[in-house]
Amino acid sequence: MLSRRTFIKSALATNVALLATPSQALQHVLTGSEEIPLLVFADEHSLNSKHFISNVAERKSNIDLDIGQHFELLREFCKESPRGQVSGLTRDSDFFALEQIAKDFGFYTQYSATHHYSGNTLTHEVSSSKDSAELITSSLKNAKDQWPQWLANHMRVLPRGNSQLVTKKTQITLANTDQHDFLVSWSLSSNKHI
Amino acid sequence: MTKPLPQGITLGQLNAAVAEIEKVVGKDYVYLDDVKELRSYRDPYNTTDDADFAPSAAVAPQNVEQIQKILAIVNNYKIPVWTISTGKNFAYGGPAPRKPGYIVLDLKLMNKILEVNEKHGYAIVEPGVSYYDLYNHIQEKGLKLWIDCAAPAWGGIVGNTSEHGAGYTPYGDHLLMQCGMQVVLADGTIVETGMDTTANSKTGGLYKYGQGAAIDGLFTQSNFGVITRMGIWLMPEPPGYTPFMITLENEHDLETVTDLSLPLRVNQVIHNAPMTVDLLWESAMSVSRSQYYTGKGPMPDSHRKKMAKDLDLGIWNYYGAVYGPGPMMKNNMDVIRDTFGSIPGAKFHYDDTRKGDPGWDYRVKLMKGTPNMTEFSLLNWIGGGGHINFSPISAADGKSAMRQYEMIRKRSHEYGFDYIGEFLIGWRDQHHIFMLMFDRMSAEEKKRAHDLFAILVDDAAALGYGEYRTHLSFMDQIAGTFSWNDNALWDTHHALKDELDPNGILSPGKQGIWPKNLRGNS
Repeated sequence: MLSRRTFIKSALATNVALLATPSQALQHVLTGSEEIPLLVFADEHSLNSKHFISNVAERKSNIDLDIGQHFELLREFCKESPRGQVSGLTRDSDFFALEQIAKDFGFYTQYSATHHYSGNTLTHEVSSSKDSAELITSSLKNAKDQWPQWLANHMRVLPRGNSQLVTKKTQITLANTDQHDFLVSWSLSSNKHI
Repeated sequence: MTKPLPQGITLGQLNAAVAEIEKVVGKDYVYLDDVKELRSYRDPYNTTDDADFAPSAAVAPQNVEQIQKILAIVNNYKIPVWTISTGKNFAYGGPAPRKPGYIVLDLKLMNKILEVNEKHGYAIVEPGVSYYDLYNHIQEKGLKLWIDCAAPAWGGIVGNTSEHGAGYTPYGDHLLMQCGMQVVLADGTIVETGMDTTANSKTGGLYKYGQGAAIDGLFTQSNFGVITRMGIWLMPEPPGYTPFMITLENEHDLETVTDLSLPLRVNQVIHNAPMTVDLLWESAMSVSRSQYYTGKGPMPDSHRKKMAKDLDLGIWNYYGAVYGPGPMMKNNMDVIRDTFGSIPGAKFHYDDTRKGDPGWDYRVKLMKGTPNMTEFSLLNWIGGGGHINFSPISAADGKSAMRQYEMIRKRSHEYGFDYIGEFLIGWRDQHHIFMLMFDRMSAEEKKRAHDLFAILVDDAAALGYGEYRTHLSFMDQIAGTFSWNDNALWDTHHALKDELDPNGILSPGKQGIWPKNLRGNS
């Protein structure tokens, strides 16, 4: 069986192309990872975020302007699923608030990335474990404007566990975009239970 | 990472103390790992080096007896603890301690709502109870009471009140509404204040003062004890509530609206603390800066005006509310409309036309004590935002308000930042909150924000203004501006500190109050 570290590497490498067929080994690990409870948040006001959440099959929650209405959902999940993973593609303020609440339950950020549109430029800045940051960054870049879908398809392969975070940045030029989104994708899990 | 240590304490001493504390609370409630656990106790908005406020450990006791035992241990080793309740005091330091190496005394597990009295309108709560917790409890029980919450309502009632926080209903002066507290002193002595110090007290939540000196205030914004319980008055649900907003077209309208407000406020025509909120604060609830301006430095006036027009907002936006039976509200609203209608261009807004606007909706909730987190949308103004609040007190006087506004706006523009602020009329004063918003990923921008803040403290002091609350980084500087009569006030604080906490274990440096063993080094 692949270790989680190997799994992350192979999953990311194998899935740089969005529609690549997963290898047998990857499929094996993906099946295992599906046992991990997952809760996903998305900002209902952003098109990219809507695109993302529409591709998520797990327990999910669309959030509006008051993130406080979702605190109980998060608390219940953290209590009931100490081995679980909480992920999302949200406004920065919502990520900040959810991250602070989750910390009370020992859930910490193992991956986060900002996705910032400015003019025709889309910048991804990824903060993740050393062995995954480069791979995630290049995957987001290769996904071009389909990056929310790539994220949705790969929520389960984002790093978990306890590691020092490093930051990688990439920029791509997109034609015909007039977006001003500043979104954050993120993943929280508890170190104590991995 | 090297374990941060309190000044003068060795790793061996820290480890020995922690081992004893673990025996008191259990290993599950002592947090030691910097990566796994102690990241919860950092300040994400710190403008200096993260290590400046890094704790060595945190401990979460579950009751007063455990607190007493922990204090006995740290007294023995002379290791400082930094007390927090819910630790959500972001913009002023959050859960982080004043100096590296302190042990955070986290009261989050002491989260019982001990009593809610509907008839007399009060609650008795422990420090870990948040505004959400109390609100939900009242809703579940169907009690006809309102809370008064901080704008981000995840904060704690005890923490916010003891930090002199303010809210938006007629009960918005939180410390004024506090009634009775239980405090553990550094030597473990438990003290009740007010009426609860009598045997079999029946009136602890009703009358604030008891006999002798009223000492409750000594335990707020200070480090003389650990507050473990507090009474807070709650507003009976009124028969009616009419919130309103007035949009104002010009910068100088701040002067007029402030002068017109004071008599209405002190005579209780406007029942709550009215707020005059600037355009950018309001706009940040629904749009981001880059939608209107992508250049460097503060947003130009031409872009501001376009944004105001698009969002149907004023350069200033004045919020208030009246409460009570219909005829009474009608009378008050007639006076309010007559008064502010005299300002050229003033436009009134109500729920029927404004509902659905994020800025309006969250103010309407706040002014009726419905907890929410919408104000955090301000972080999205620049994307990846962090902020520290510069919070001077102004007179509720037009010229004073304009003087502060112009001083801060000029300086913030000089340093390349937008002015984002609001004025909140308490009774005779105004809390002026300048939200100094920066990119929290940018070291250069954080340094610039830090430098601006330090200058503002001096500028305000030169004009005769002091701040009501501040971030960890500026506690000493601001304490230095309250220096009348050769620092007589701080000498008094220090005399109390030395008497009540001779080993200097409780939150050293809180608000600039240092124990004698650390005073020379602060």
